[in-house]
Amino acid sequence: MRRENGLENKRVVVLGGSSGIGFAVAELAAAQGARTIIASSNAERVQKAIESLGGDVQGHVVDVSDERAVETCSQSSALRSLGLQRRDSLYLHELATTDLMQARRAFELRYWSALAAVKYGSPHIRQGGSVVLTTGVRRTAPAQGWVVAASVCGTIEALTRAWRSNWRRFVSTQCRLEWFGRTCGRT
Amino acid sequence: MSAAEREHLYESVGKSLPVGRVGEPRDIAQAYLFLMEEGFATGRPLWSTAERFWF
Repeated sequence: MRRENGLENKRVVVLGGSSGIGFAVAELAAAQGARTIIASSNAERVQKAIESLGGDVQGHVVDVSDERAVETCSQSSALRSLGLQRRDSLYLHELATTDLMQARRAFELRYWSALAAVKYGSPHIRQGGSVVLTTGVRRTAPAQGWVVAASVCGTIEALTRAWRSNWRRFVSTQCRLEWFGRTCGRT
Repeated sequence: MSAAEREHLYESVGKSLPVGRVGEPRDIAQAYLFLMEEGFATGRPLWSTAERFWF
């Protein structure tokens, strides 16, 4: 039985929804009747994903590291839910050999893009909607080489908790997933 | 980490997990859908990690 507050006819935006976990989320949401929108930086992947998903799925080419692009995408319509996925690999190096400019880039892609999506997307999310952010399990048990990556994961958790407190007026749900597994299906 | 190294990691870690495998995208997609619909789970993590190994 479908829940009363199910996703049917609700608008779901999946940033990074053209492949991997994001694609799987978009596929499930669409199957449940959500008006699904995927966004990714790669036009070819977006088009391929739309064709594969079929139905009423829409796609946007968006570089999530570009604040203005995220703002424009977020203002397109009222949302039920906003999810963010990253396709790039985590930045893993021993600290002694870490290129700090690349480390900054890791934060740019994973933290600042999430912050921009929350900032510009949340005012458009309807009451009862949600934001779901993703981070990694190594936040709590970082191994060698995980200094930067675990730091990024920790900031996502802090963002989750802090933003929930500040924006509950607009959105009642906001959670975060910790995950270990394949990020792309075996094809 | 190369693709082959990553695949080896997935295989070896998967065997050590109670479920005998690492997660696939569809596993966590189900968790996403749950969180989208669940209006009472706010500001907290949901661990989709097959429980063991990391904590």
